[in-house]
Amino acid sequence: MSNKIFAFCCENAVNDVNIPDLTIIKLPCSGRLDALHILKAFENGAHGLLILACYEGACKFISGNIKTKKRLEYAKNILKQIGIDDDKVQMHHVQINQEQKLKEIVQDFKNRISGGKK
Amino acid sequence: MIVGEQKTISEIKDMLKTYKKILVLGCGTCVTVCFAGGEREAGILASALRIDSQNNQKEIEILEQTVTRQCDKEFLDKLELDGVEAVLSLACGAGVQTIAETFTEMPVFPGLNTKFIGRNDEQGVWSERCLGCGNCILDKTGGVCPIARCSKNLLNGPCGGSSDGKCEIDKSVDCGWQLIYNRLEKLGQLSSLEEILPLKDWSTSRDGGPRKVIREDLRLRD
Repeated sequence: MSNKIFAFCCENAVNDVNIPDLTIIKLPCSGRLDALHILKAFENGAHGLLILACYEGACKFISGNIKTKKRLEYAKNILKQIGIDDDKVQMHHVQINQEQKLKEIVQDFKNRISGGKK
Repeated sequence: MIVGEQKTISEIKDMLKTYKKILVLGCGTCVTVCFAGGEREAGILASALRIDSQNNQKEIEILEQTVTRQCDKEFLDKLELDGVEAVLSLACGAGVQTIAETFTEMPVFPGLNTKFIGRNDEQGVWSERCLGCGNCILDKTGGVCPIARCSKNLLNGPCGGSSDGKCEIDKSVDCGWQLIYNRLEKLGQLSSLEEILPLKDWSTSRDGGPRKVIREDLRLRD
């Protein structure tokens, strides 16, 4: 069975890519991400969620990616309370010319949430 | 504003376990501002409860709605409760009770713990400023409340536990009386500390029982 993965991406960090089972949702900055978006993704059938942000120090809005980290912790706490393992949500830093790294992150994440190799 | 904090999801699930159609009801006033029970938090909680019921193969319908102010009946007219078996109110205690008093046959549950009357110190931080004691003496204490800010509610200076401007209950808590002294010093009003404040009459506070304010000039009934 395929795993449906949603990726909330900073539009400055990720180019348009076509990766099977991956739904990319672009944000003007990863700092726009809210706990509600994360919950809604799982409510709509996501098996896992990736948050792809710029490297620390490289945020166009200075600290959006730092704020995202804190918001993610808040959301993970809610998910934990409803029995969703915090491994199902991961945040990674990428930049726009790292398509290969992005593919590796997605593949590794797919393996992880399907109980394959860690 | 009234500051609240959401209960844990397991507490909420436990309260609602016998109901199949639940309305998560946000409040658009104080608890929206303190990010505890507004439209956003109602959405997050409703979503979390839906995911939980899906994952546990339970057929529970979770609705969500937010009204401007749950503690005013005039805002409750448009509430849609068709088929709803229980309401989870994300308002303060006043809002929860107003829902219960308005919809007398509807079970109503609190989704928040109402914490205090306070203010926003910085984004994400709120602190207590008022106990609602019913007899304000801020004019005598430089605008710093000894009832709310002193851990012992002292009226005439600090206790022996005040050290380096901090309270003995916790070194992260400012001594209320140090704050009063500093403020009066800035205002050039230190002499006002020589006035001895009398024993507080707590009958204006909770000691007098549930309180009520009546303005006859505003009442519509004769």
